[in-house]
Amino acid sequence: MPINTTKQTILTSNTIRSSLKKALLLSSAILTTSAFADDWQQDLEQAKGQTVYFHAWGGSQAINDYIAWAGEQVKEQYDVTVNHVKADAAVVVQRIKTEKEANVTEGGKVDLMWINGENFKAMKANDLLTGPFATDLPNYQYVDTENKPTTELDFGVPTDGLESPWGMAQLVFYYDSEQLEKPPTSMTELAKLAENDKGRIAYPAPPAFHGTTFLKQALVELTADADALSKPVDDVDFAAVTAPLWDYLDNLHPNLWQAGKNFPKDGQQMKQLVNDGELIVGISFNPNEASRAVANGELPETIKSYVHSRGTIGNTHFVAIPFNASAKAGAKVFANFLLSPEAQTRKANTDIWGDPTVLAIDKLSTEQQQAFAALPVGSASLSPAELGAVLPEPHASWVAALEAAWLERYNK
Amino acid sequence: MIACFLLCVFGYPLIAGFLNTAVVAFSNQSAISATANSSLTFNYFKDFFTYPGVGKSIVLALWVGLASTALAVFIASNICQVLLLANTTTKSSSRVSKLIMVFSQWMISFPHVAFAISLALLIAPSGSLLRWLSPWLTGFERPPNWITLHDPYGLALILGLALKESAFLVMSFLSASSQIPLHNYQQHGMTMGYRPAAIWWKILFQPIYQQSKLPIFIVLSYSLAVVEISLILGPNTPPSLPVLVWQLFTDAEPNHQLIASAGALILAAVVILSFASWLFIEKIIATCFKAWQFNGRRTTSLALGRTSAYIQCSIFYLIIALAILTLIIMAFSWRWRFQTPLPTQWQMSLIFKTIKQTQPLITQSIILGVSTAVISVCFVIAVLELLVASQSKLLSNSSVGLMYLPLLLPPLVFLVGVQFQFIQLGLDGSFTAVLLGHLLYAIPYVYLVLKGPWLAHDPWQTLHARLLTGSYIVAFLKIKLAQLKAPIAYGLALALAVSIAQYLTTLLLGAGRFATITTEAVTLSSGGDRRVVAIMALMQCSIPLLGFFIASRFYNTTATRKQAPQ
Repeated sequence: MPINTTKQTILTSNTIRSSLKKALLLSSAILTTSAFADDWQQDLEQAKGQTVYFHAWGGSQAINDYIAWAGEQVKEQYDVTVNHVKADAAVVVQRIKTEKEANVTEGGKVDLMWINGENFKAMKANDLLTGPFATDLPNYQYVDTENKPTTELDFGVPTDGLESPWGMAQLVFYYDSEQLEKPPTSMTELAKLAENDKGRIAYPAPPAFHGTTFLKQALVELTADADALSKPVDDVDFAAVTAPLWDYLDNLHPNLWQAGKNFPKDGQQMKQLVNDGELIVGISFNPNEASRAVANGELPETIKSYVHSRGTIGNTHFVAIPFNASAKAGAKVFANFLLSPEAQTRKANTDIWGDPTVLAIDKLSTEQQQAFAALPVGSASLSPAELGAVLPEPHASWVAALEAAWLERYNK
Repeated sequence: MIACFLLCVFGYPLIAGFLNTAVVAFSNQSAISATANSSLTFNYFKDFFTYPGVGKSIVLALWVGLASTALAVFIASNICQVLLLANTTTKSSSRVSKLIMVFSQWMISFPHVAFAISLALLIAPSGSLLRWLSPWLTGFERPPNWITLHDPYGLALILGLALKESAFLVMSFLSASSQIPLHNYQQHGMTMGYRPAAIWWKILFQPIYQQSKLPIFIVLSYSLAVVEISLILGPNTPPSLPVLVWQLFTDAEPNHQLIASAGALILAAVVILSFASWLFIEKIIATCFKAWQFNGRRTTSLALGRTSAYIQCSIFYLIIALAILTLIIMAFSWRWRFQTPLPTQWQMSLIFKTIKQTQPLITQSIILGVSTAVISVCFVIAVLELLVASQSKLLSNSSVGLMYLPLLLPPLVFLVGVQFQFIQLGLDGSFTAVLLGHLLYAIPYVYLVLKGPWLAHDPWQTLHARLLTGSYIVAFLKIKLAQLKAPIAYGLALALAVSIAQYLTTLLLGAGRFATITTEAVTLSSGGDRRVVAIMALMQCSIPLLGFFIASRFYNTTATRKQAPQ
């Protein structure tokens, strides 16, 4: 389907886009008269009766339940049926690529997908996404693009409206307070802890993404040249920048779980190992995951969270529409609903999912602000103040370079 | 004609899928334009071989495949020894053999992933075995820092595969034993004074083994190329070859998928290499033991003796039973930490919730499984009837070879290609596509089960019946089908089990839209809540179990009737 060219010219100009956004914020009267509103009405009309196949990782019952709830809401409010297809993003990317190879330019099997980072980079680079849509969504006005720059910069790659922000993530560690009195506050202290209590610390093997994030966090803390990380990896002296990281890992590995000969598969397996008492520290990208796991009986009640004193790496996860989606209008309506204050409040609730919001609380109405303020705080969660500084992800090109270098050194 | 038909049904998707993978692997363009005309290149093979850890991965895959298959053959021989030699003696031992039969069938229906998870829960450093033994015996206050899972030599993986696959080999050996004059051999052996163990190893084993080469190669190929089980039990730095290829396939980096295509072809080559290695090693062993086999001594060493076989069988079954017990406890637990032998808190709520949520999936899985079972059995019967009618040996061999291809080739090699074909035809994501995929895997198993009894069936009976009734159909239905209802029932149950177990096929051909109990189980296992995983695993095996239970009613009634006149 050809992209509306006038819309595209408007959107390619960043200045016009931001001024339009401001205009949207000013009053809803402008909204009704703007071209956006007409387009949106058209989308709403088209979406009626559509079925949206939403491909999203389905490993968490809590998240699946939340998606089911959101589906019921849009069915009721907009007559859009949502079908949650539980698939990993990488498998979906592979699928859409295959569809493109087979010349399936419309009527594709994926309408909306949960995505970020490398997968987004791959989709964007291969033109596998539909044209910019996110910034046209009415609820986009509430997104906290000022204080949460990762809502527009996905692992350093500009989103260009090709994906709509859904939730925030930040690297947090959790520990068993029964076995560990004082958690470490830096990578160096973590290494000391591993030395004193051999075999109780681990990190997942890259390219599992918790593992890669651990490498990035260590690199940010240890390197002498932190500025280099925001540049494409080819523009810097990779060996020099990363030398302290490899020194650190070489010393750390003999003290790790199973003497560093084995690594947990992913963050989920680390959670099991912490519950089993094999490990004393776990890694998560959701600041509330530990609380939810405690409430769910997956972790002991003695679990607490911590972050490093210099801050930890954070990013945003998104939803995006593939180029050949069958129900684009429906997908937009659903993406817009996921951004709504109502849906975002429920998502941030630790009893439901506990995924931090992408919205700016101060842009919301008093009532909506109160709803956010009234959310319960999980037993193992940190307050926003305790979570501390969010460090930006290194440029997306670092992921592949770090993974390759790690595999080269330790996958033998 | 049959060969042409089979070529269309099996050859086309497989060859097309294989070619598609090959084209991608040899082309020098990006993934997207790879299928367009592009020149030949070996760059991706070069990239694949320079990928970190590949050499070790290949050796590991070969080692795991050969070692686990050898162990499975050994376990299965011991079980069959107990089973076949016990049959003729006492009443209690016939009860034991009946129990072993039921257990073997049940093990076949037990999903691989579920079994791997059970074993992992049992033998992990914090697993149930050490929970039961600590601290009173071991003195461990905390789980030891041992490597019992994901060990670099793949020992846990070998154990898991061997235990699981031995059940399939037991059934294959038994089916093979029905095709040799078993009782004759046994009688001769006994009159010549051979001890039971010597009868088994010196007289019976060789012909049974020769008849079972195909099932053994199926096990070898499966053990070498399986992804899911290697992920749960196998080494990870580096992983074995199939896992490495799968990781590359599902990597976001477009280049990695092309390297993966090259890797998939290498995997196929390694599978073929493993067949050759197996035959080579077999030859050496056969030569070494030839003198022993014909040395005329009526007894065997203690290690191969009957008592030893009983002890070994007991150990295998004990491991399996403990693993499954752990899985059941896990399904009912709420909190269960190291050192407590049993959960400190139990639950039923997760069970009810999971059952409620997966109800539509169960229905879907049953519809798919039953359709697969019925169609594959009808198809195989039709092929066999045509084969019997045409009586062409040559035809049968070539067409049979094609049919077994899906079981002998690693699925990674052609499934992605088949998916591409289906997408082009607009078939993917439909019930038909998934059903066709399942049939590819179910039909060869059904053929394996039905071929023996079908060809062994006395053609005179059919002829007489036709002469008496004057109708081919009546003769076929009333005589042949009625007489062969036991293997047919077993074939139906097996096809159902095969369909229920399909993961990659369902995922790729169903466009992810087609959720079955198995795809859901794998999806939920990525979330790491082991209680839910355990519940799903139990539900997953309940359907095929039910199938085998129903089939066994036919099986047992026929068996008793057969025994009655003796």
